[in-house]
Amino acid sequence: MTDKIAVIGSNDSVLIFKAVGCDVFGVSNEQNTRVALNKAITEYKVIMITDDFAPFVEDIIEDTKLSSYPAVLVIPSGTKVSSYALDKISADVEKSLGVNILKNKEN
Amino acid sequence: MSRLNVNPTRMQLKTLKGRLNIAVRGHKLLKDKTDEMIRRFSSLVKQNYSLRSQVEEEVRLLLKQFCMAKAFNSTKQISSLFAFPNSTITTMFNTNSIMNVGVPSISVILNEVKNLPYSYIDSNPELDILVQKTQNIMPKLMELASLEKTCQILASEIDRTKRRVNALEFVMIPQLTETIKYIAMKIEENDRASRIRLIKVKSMIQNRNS
Repeated sequence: MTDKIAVIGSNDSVLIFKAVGCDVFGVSNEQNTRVALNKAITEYKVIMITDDFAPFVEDIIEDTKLSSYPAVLVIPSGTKVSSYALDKISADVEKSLGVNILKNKEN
Repeated sequence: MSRLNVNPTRMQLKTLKGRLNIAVRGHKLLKDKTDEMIRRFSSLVKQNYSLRSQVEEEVRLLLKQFCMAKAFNSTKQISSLFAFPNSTITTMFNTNSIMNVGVPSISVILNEVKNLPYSYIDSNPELDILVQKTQNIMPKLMELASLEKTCQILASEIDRTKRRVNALEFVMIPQLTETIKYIAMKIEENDRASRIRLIKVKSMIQNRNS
């Protein structure tokens, strides 16, 4: 594993991360998102993926949840507003505590 | 509650009492561990939520602005501009331990950048500003990555420990208690039976002799 950071998303939005030394994987559909993430998981310690492609690879992200590395971080895509990542945090809280303590924060 | 399928002997009784002792101790330890993990998790998850809300807004704005700035150049041009980044961030990956659970800790050393990785002629000013913004946002993103991972790992660990605590509390300890009670009663009953038999035999011998 390298100490570099991988960014997966549509080329239009994530190319900027290339300027700070991240490796950018431009994807356009479910199939190449899967290929890119599977490759990135074996090679990078931190992987950022935009929230418009994250739902395609939810199963792979779930598999990496229990180990410290790689850390898969869902970032917003810049094209549309989505509460995908915040919903995931709420689901985790509800699963482990039985009650969503973030509910007041959401409202 | 079903009791264990064991022979009612003194040897078994001793073994089961030992097991019950360990189960009770383990239950207390695991319960304390869960409580402490929940305490830490609830504060971490609140931090995570507020940091994510803040970072998401910044990243969304950044990527949106990048889409606009990119319109002046083609994707190929931009890609070649960023092809040789003068790597501005150094990331350090470590593993910390919270209640004996390994969680990642990512620290970022931000190097002061004097020059952009390309010449000003090829790009537009908006792009230059956005590159600077991206450099500034990276430490926050890495902090969010480690915080979010910590929360995910803690959440699943809490879930697992809770299952263990419940299994001990509602299955193992009642089973062991009931089996111990059963064996103790059985042994007492055998004891009484043999005593009565002896008394009976003694009285029969006395009757025959007299």
